[in-house]
Amino acid sequence: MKPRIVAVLQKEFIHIWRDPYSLLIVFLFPMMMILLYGYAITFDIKYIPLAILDQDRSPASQQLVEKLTSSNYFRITARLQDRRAIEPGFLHRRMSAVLVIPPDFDRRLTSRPETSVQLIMDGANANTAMIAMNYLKSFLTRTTLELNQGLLATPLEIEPRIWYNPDLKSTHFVVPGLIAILMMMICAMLTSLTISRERETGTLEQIFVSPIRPVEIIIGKVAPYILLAFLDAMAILGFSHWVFGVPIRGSLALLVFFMLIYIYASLSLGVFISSRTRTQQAALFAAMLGTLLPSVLLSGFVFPIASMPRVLQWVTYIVPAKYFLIQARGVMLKGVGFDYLYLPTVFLLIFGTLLLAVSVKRFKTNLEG
Amino acid sequence: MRRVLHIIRKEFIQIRRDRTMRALILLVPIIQIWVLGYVISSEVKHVSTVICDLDRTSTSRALIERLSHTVYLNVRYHEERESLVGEYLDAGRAMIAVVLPAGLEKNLQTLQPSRIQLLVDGQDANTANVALGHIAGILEAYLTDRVRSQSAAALLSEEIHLLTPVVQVWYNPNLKLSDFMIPGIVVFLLTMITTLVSAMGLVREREIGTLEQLLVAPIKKHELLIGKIIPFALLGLFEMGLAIGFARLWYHIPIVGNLGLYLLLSIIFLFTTLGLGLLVSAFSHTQQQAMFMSWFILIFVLLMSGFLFPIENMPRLAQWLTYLNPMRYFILITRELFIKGAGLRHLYIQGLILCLFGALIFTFSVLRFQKRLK
Amino acid sequence: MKSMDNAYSVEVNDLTKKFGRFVAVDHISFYVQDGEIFGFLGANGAGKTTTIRMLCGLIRPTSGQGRVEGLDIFTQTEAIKQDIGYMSQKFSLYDDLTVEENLVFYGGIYGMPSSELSLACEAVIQRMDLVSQVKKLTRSLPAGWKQRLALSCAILHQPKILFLDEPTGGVDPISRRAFWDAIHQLAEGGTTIFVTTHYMDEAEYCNRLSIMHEGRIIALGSPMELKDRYQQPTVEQVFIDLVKPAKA
Repeated sequence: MKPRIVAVLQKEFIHIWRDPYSLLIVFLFPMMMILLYGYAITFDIKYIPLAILDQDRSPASQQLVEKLTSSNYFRITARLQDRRAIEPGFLHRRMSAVLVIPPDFDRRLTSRPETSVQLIMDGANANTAMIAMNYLKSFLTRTTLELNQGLLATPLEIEPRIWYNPDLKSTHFVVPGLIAILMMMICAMLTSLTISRERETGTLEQIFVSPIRPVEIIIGKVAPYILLAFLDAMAILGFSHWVFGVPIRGSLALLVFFMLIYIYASLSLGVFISSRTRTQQAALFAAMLGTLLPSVLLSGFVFPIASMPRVLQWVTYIVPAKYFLIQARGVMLKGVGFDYLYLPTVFLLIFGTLLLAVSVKRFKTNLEG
Repeated sequence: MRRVLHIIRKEFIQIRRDRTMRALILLVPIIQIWVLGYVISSEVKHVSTVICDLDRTSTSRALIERLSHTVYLNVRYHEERESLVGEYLDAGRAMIAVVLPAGLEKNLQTLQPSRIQLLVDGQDANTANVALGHIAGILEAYLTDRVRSQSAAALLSEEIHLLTPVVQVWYNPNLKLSDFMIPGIVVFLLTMITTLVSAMGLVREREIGTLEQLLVAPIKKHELLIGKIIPFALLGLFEMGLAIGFARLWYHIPIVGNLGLYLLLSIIFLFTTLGLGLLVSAFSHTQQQAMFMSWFILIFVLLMSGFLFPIENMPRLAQWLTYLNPMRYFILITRELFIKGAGLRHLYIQGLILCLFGALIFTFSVLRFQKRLK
Repeated sequence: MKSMDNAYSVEVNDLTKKFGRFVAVDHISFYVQDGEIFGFLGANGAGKTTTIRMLCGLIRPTSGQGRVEGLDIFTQTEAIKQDIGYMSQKFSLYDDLTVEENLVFYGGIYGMPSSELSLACEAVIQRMDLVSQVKKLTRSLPAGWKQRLALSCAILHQPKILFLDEPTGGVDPISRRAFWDAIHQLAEGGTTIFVTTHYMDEAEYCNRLSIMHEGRIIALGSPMELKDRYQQPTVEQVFIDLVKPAKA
């Protein structure tokens, strides 16, 4: 039994080695992504371009503007003279918001019970507009409270304590997701591709007329990819840990154990896909639709599941990456143990075993028929 | 010209014959807009929250009431012991824990400062940030209302002066994120499809050997490439139309600007994506390689385009890099034109830059393509 | 462009092609007369395909001279392409096009005007006896029919010279015989045929033969001359006789 498996193994390693292209992508891609997330991508919105239309030009109005821009939420990019300048300003993207201070601002502020300033927002970018609006509103409330010190309630201070990722770095969040996606790509996509390639070129037939058993073929074909996925995961972990300080707070051994379970589930998915498709191209599309896209979009990798519509939330329950992500983040960022994370494990085991059972049965008849 | 037409015709026959291709052409844009529309443009909502009320007064209950009646939070748990709230975060049951301190009401009445403790699961930095912002906003609004009612009597005394904002939101008054994100998805779709088909189209002919047969024919290099590319361009535009139509019907995105202008700018943009695809095909031997390489490039083009992550907040070096990304300009064009109705005089710079990119990439890929075998 | 009263379809002098340090074609010289069937005989990897590809302008020679229909193979490759037909061992056809669509397409890329094109298609369909297959998808054809279709595509624009690179691979003997009948007819009509093969029986059909080994031409002449010169009953024996000592 041994030498036969070894022959398949050897051949599969040669395939991987001769295709440096895919190998390069598998290793280079996550590193580039980590670099990008580590250096370039931030979600926080700062220095929103703001235009001032100061119709008062009094010390009080100037003071208000100064106070507003002393935070780094805004930077003043234009001073308008006229309301008519607002529309062209928005269309030429000179600013995202305009603060309009009315003509008698100074006088009203000290003599009238209520004074209004107007905020005009370019709502096209809903995210930026929302943040700018919230900030401006809270700024005005605070200014009111300062104006009436001792007369009105003091602000409610919020004291946030941020756990697991105190600096709110997106790399910490993204790295476990990258591992999940890459492992899925190697285990499900590459394996289903190699199997369907063999079927297309007829070599599978050739192997089948030899006395090798189906189990031996599957193990022989799949083992190199397990190793590859594992090496890749370790490379990502090491790189993100040493270069970007992504923590591994829990037990590394537990993380490795979870990886093995996840690999098992992804491989089953890969074998399942190849048992259902006849050509490489079909396998490629099925793998993209069935593994890659759900792992990116519906796993909670960057897009939070809680915000999705109900139907899509249901779909996420059959995405293996979702479960692995819970585990990987749990171990790496939260540092919690198996007692918190056993449920996803159980699910992945059931998922993998079911798919494998169905496809092995199908695989045999496919080759015989 | 006649030769070009023959290639175009052949390309269309092949698309028509391919059953999977036909299905993909119709389904991909719709499914992508549908799913991505929900996934990408969903605001942070229903963040799972646990509240620990140590005050138990009408004030704290009013605050809880407000926190519960917002789509942003989903107050699922009430915990009585402060020491246990952390457990909810560890187990992943809640993302935010709000602790209302004892003496909250008394402090507010006596104008003493009070602190509300928030425990936030910071793994997802973006969601954490946004949720924090919303909670701050809710507390702020509560305070403002309180100040108003408290000062209603005092207002007459002219001792108190309020500074209030009057907010006007232009173009997208309800601040719908989907209006902003979905035009971006349309651009992504167009970029992806045209780059992929043009990358794989030539490689496919190389793989099955027909390219060799074309190369011994007296057809000019540019005739061959133009003939291959025109069907892809038409396909891309068709897909774009389908996607925009679906987005309009399903997500009701606004289209304020001139669609004729948009078509023109799209065609200019297509030269860059199709040229990129050709360039990829010049470096690939198999369709699988072409596909991997295209994806590799596409992901970076996507992330550095301002589609998902605002460019203004990237470090300077990264911002410079985005200037080399054609999709950056087209995303901007699309959003400005759709949402704000920007016209040529607002977008001509972007248009000119795209022309330049298109000409460069396309010329380079034509030069790179050899009518010889390696 | 074309030199005066040139009786040679192909003229090659000291032609060489190197891939890195590997010499695929090593200073070969020969000529092919107008209207003859010229065979290139050799084992796999002897340099036959490389030679054909150089003559068709698909790869650039490293050194030497060559002319096809009087046109230089270094500088006038595009002009040469109008005069030649090419059919490779892969039968480069579009599987998802019908027989007719393949013909129209290949005629089209040679720039034939549509009136001429439909006449030419009609003629070639008759001539190659493809009438019953016209509407069928190429994918569904047996290898013999595919071969006929590939030949039809290559001769549609009435080339002066036809390059056939191992045109009979994977095809049954009856189809092969029919194929050679068609080739002879073409030659009688004045088309020069340049064919590579490793089937010895096919070599006997050629007017003149060159035997290639490891990038060099080691014998050249009509099948009769070669058999006489090396005193062997068949071309096959000549070939084996020549190649064996070279290998040893």
